[in-house]
Amino acid sequence: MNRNGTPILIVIYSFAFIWMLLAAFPFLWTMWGSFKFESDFFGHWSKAISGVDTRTFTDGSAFTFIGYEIAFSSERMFGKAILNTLIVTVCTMAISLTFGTLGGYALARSTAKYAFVLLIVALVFRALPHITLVSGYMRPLFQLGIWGDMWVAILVLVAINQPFTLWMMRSFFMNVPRELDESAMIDGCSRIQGFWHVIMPVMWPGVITTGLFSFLLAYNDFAITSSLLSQENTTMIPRISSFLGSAQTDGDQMAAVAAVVTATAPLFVLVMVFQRQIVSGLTSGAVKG
Amino acid sequence: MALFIFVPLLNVLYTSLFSAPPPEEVLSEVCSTNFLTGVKTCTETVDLIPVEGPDVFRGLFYFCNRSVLACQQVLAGEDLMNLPFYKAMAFTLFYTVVTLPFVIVFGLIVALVVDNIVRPMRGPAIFASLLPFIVTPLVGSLVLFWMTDNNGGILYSIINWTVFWADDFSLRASPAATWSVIAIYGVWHVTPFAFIVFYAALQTVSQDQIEAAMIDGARKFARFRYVVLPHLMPLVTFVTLMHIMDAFRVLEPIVSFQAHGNAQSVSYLIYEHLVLQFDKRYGTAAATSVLTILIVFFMLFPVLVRTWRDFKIAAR
Repeated sequence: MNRNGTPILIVIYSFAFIWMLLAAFPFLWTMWGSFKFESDFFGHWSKAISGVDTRTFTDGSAFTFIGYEIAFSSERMFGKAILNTLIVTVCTMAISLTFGTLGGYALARSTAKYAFVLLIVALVFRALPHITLVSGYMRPLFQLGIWGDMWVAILVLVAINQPFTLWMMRSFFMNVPRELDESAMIDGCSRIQGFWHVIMPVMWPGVITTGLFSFLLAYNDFAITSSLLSQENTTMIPRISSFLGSAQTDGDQMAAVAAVVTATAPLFVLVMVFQRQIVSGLTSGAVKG
Repeated sequence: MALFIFVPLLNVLYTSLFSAPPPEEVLSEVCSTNFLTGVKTCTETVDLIPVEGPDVFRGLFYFCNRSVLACQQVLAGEDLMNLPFYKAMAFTLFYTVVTLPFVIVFGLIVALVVDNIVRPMRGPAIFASLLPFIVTPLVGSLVLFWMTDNNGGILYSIINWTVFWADDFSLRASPAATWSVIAIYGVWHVTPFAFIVFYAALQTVSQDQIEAAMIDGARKFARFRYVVLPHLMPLVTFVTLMHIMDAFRVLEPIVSFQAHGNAQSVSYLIYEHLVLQFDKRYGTAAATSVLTILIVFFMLFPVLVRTWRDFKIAAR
């Protein structure tokens, strides 16, 4: 591929540069701006860069933590939202992985007709907009008096996540040759033992990738968490959206900016560490077609 | 899965046809005696008392509601674009149709570019590309919104410099502006997905075929047109499919761009009925959901048939 001429190389590299800028710049800009005063970040863009007002308010420093202070104040309770997010995402991930691994293994090895039906049904469920299910959940939850509890939202997230996890784990299990199961069983393992001692050790990359996507689904969700969690149990993303409503009247949008940056930071780290897994996960469905 | 998805789905259908009896209006008088003056004041309030009792079959009442199919209004010849459900459908279709070609073309270009840059740069390039797709949609659209909305915002300034007709651009000025900004967000958000899929496929292009084409005298463009592109075509279908599914989920950008005045998606309508309304409109939300589910199902039908056939072939 090194036979490209210089003009083509220039085009390629400038395009790559422009794309990277387009993709990453908005986040870097907001991160930079979150350490400014509101009149700077929401003022003219040159002020957001230099931080004129921030300097006058803070005796010369171009940075301030005022946005973060408001967001984490006892009134706004973003810290609580972080804790809730942690509980919801970790539980969702753990439960959907358990079911996804067992179910995916069964579906990959089964030749029964109902296995096909189940997979097709899963595909349909996967296509449905999440919010359409909420209209089925909400009234019974209110009637039972369990609306707003965290474990309810976790269960709903697991359910919504399950079709995807099943498909993904199944495609990973399909890559593990059947002969491996058979040889384990010939050596005297039961199916469970064979699954645990022989198949699982080679499946860890698949489990990590699937877990990653379950985590992202729960973390990024807005439709479920904003409609099924009560005010005190709410997670980061709906909390940010509630900041927006109040920020208009209070005039301190910086809390929302700081919250947005706080919510983005873990994702930055995640993408950096698990880049390979994310790429393989996004394409694993594609290759199977 | 059966319990937590199928049962709620049935309940959606049930709620769209049946409903609790309408609440009873009860007049109540609240009286209080001022303990200093001894004057008794009474205020009358109207309370809505939920009626206990079995749900009532409402037939197609909710489907014909003004917020959903608006049977009466349509028959009376009212403009469809004034009716929420049709407007939302129009927006969802607009979003899908307009963003899709951009997503595929940009995704392909970025994939080709990243495939051709030196290896040490590819990691950072992929990292940057993943961000708009992986970062929470609500957060990603908020970040863009803040850069676009206010008068001195950096994207606002760029738009004003480059797009000559947008003299004093405003996000909420007209439906056209709002729709296009959300579509631009959509392209920005989904292009990375198309890029990753195409990029992975580029790695699996058969080198033998490329060499054979070179021996046959095919120039770079011809090799791309006749070897690489056919290899990518199934993935174009895949990306299209995923994009259609996702288009019906569009909800977050409308919340963050505060665009509901000009643009509402189908998902946003349901969200509005369920979350934003103080007295939750279960019936209307459920009827909208049932219609959405049916539409998604019909769009998916060809794919389902194909997958089913593939399974049968694999089983043999």
